[in-house]
Amino acid sequence: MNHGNFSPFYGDLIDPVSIITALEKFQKEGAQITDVVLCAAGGLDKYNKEKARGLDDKAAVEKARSYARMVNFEGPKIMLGHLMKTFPTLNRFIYISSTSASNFQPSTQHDPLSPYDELVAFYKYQFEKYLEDEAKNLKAKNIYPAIITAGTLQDTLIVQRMREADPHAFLNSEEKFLTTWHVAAKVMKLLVSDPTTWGEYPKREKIG
Amino acid sequence: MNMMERRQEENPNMNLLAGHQIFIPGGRRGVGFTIGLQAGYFGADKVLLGTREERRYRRIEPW
Repeated sequence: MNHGNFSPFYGDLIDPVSIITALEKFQKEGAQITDVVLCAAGGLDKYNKEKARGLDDKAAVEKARSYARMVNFEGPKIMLGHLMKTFPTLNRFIYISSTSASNFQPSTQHDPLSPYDELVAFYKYQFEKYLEDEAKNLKAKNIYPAIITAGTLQDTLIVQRMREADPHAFLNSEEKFLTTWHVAAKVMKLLVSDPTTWGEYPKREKIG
Repeated sequence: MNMMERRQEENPNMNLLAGHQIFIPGGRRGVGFTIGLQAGYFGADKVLLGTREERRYRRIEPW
């Protein structure tokens, strides 16, 4: 399927082969990817399904853990490795993270963690660490990483899932007016800026 | 001609992202879709937008 400058594709970070297959197809078609914006997040969908089957919180989290690790951490790592090998044109890697992930402190987190922190924030935090550790190598290949830390966005599927897991979530949130459009505006600014002038790698931006 | 191509033709000053080919995995139901929409609006050469649900992929329409 291809509509002018828009090419949708099927791919699942749980199954990195599906992402690699899509990238190979685009490469064969002559695509020269310059920027990646990674905003995939998952785990609560699986958790909610397990809860609906009657599992308690802890068991549902454990059932969803390998899925969450793959979507939020391992899958993106594999994908980035393939992108680096396949697309020498790659210039910016923009990662959309969340406040809970960017502020995650393994040693001081409250116990027990919420399902979101266990399954999403922790593994997104791991991917942030990975980008920090790899920043020098990436930069040497002219790939400039950036992390956008966003508060709770009201118009995303994951917020819907969080509300399913906890109907009282965000009742008093001061971030209730943040939407995907705020994030998109920040991404656009990064896309039109010269990444060699960012100064810090990964460049960090906060919303909310 | 889709909506984005029409918009570009009406307002060529919107070509801020000319030369960009943007890969957005996992973006059908949230931030990714909005970013893809904006990138198209600002004239990206290509927006490669992913979904992990095959059922939804089949229903994606050009914007």
